[in-house]
Amino acid sequence: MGQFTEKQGVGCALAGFYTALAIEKVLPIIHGGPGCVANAQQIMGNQNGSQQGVGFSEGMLPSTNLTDTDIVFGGGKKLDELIDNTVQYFDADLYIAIGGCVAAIIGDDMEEITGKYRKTGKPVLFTEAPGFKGNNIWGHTQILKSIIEQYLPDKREKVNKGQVNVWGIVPYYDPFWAGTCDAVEELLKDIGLKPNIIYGKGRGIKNIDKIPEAEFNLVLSPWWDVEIAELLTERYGTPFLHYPSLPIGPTETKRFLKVLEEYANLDSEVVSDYIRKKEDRYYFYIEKGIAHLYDARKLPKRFYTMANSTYALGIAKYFINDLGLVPEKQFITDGVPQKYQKQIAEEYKSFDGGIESDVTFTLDVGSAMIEIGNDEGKYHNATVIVGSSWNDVPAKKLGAYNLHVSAPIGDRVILDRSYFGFDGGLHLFEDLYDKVAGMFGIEMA
Amino acid sequence: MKTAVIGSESLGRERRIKSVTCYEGNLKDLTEKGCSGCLKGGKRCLSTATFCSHLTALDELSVVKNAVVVDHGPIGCSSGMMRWTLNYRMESLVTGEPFGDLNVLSTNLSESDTVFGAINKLYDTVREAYRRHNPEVIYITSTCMSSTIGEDFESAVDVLREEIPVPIVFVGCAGAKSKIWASGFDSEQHANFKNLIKPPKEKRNTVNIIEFLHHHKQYTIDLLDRIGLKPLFFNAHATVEDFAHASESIASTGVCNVKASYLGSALEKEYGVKYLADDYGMGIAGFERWYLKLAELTGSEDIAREYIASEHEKYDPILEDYRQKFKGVKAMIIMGSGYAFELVRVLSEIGIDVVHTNSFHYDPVLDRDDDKDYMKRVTQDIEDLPVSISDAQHFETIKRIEKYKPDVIITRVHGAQTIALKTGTPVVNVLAAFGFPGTVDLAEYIYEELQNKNFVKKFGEHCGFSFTEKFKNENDKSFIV
Repeated sequence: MGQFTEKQGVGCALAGFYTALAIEKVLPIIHGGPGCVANAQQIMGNQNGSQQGVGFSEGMLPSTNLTDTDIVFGGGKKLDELIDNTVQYFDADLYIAIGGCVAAIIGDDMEEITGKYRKTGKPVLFTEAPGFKGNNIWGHTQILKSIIEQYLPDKREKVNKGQVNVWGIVPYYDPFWAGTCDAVEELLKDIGLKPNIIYGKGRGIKNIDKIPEAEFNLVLSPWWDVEIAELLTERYGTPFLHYPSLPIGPTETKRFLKVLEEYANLDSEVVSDYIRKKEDRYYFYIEKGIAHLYDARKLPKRFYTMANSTYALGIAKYFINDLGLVPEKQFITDGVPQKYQKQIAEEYKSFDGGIESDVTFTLDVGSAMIEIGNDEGKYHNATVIVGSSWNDVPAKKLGAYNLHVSAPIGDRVILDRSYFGFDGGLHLFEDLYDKVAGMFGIEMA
Repeated sequence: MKTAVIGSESLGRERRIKSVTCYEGNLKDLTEKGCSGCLKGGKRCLSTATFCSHLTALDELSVVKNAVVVDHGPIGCSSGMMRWTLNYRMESLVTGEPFGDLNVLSTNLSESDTVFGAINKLYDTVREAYRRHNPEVIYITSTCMSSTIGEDFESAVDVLREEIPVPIVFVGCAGAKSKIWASGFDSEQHANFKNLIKPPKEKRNTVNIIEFLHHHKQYTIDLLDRIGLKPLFFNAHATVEDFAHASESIASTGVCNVKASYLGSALEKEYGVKYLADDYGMGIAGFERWYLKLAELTGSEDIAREYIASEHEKYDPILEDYRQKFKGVKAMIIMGSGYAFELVRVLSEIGIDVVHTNSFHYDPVLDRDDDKDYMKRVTQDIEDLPVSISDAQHFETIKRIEKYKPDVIITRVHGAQTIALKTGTPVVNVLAAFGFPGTVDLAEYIYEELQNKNFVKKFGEHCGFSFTEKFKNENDKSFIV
């Protein structure tokens, strides 16, 4: 943090409340300004794949709506009253009071206020997530830490063999989170594991309760939730496998499965069968679907990226290793902490066929837009820009195909879509080449 | 005059014009109590997240032509700009403006800045904003954090003005300043008035149109042209020079008086630019009154009457057809106060009965001293109408939908839409209902929605809320203490 930014690709720490919303019957209680939820909503919800909370939603989240008077006299009493009434009226399994900038500056003691309720048996947790302390990924981490440290037991009682907790998905910020949770769950079941995921439909508190019993934790992202896996190791002694990329498409999913097979000592025949079946299916659909694309058409070959790290890297691997595209300027815009940058940069040096790319880490999407815009007229053939709705101006300038996968996304309605795994590769193939086919006969054909 | 364009920033509405966000009763009671000054802002035992006056201000500043906004705050206070950017791009297409983004930079304040301040970050960001975008004006906006830690904006602006040759405008719009998000309009208009609006050099036959993104731009140009006037649009696409000429206009009007009141009143008070506050062209009767008042400015009432007559001839049969189609249809309105009351009449013009109207806030008076009775014209025939005031407190909305059982809900923003859908009630988003064509447009949209309710009915059956038994036993007034 520290440097100014323009056209953000992240929300602030308080926007981490979306992680609570993603867990069935968990209700965030906002201790912040009247507009903090709305600000978050416009990058994480509405304008990110047309999403909203299910059951509990942004339009009706308890909030202290702090104003000037509270800054002078403190907001603690207001929070206390709000929690008191919230637990009487809203039927939740778990309540999490989440404090923003104003609450932190005036120094309201959220631990004491929520502690009072916990003593009476009401599951009310607290998280301090002021926007000046970090972005929404940091806020997401704080919410998970609160659940682990304030709700879950100190020690693990037993180990459930084969149970794997899945991490590395930041709900809502990743607009494909729900579909990806389902897809990861299905894959892990298919290869003989017992996946435990806390987000999405039908999981909720019962899956939170199972977190300590996992045989291991699995992190599917370059850096999201590595800290959570480390915390769980420290607290319960649970080991973790950090697979530093979201597997998209056949090449990376196969690699992932091989790593997982070795790590979890899986039945190699089961894994190989799964791979064979899924890969055959993948190429069946690809073969079936490329006739029009290759019928006297020029297809884009070069791609730019300005997206969050999980999707920037995951898609770059799929585009380069499976679709044969060529990387141009690559920007990663989710505020990757210094300590993870080197490892991510190394991933960009090891694509198949000896292909390498530089990668720039910046929060400042505005500067990335200028850099990409500078390539106007550089290439004869149309290129692709992977990123967010902030792509649109440079994409128009370059005449590039414009694929939105990273917040904010204002022109897509994302339901159960996921790019994870073999099938996810098919979906991404469709989304990319839909853009291309959509232009046949219009401009760029 | 409540619009005191003095001091570095405007006061919030609850303090300036005693606006309220908590009321349940009827229209007669609301306006009587409001006008006699005894409408006290009630309190709720429960509150849910609303909206931010800061965000309102950011949206309205960033649409100024070739403007850049530097938001002095943590990253989240300006992270939601994509929403208004999309609206801006869409309306730019309609109005023939170039495709582009709203340009907002954040100083990205961090924890140490709460202790040491961060005025140097503000300098760096403003300089970069100038270098990057070559703007015609730079707005510096305050946030909860930068105003609470006491950043010295005035000195910063003085320093920056020395080195950057375009207007540097400070806008005091910290979200914590007001509970009422409409206060953000006042913040930006206060700043624009103080910094960009200049005394008149000559009088011109222009009318200041103070509205959002000028969806009806060409229609407005044509209407004004007929009666010898030219529009000057604010804030979207307005240049610094347009602001300088605002005082030379013959009058100001706007798409709603919540949006236009502060600037309209200030221009009237300071420079005698007549502010047409009563009407803004919604529906049939509203359009007639508004257009005739504009025509009076140039003595063109005959032309206006003739145009209105021709519109009647063209649209009356269509409107009558809708009145027949809508027989027995009951609506509930959930809108900002500029629309919540006016729309009751507009809907009656297409034959729809309103059973309840909910407004996000209520201004007992406007910013002009003589606007005490501004609601009278609206209320005269519908004094008994059940009315509520709530700033998007939708746990109450649910109770009201249960109580009034409307056939359709007319709304637009602030969460009411999806909350209403979950009750299984059809929802229609109204944008403007401007003039005869806008009224027909609204009627058609409502008619289409009521043709097939399968989605909303089944959606309502499957999706709902998670409340306790205690909540289920409460009524719409239970939460006001």
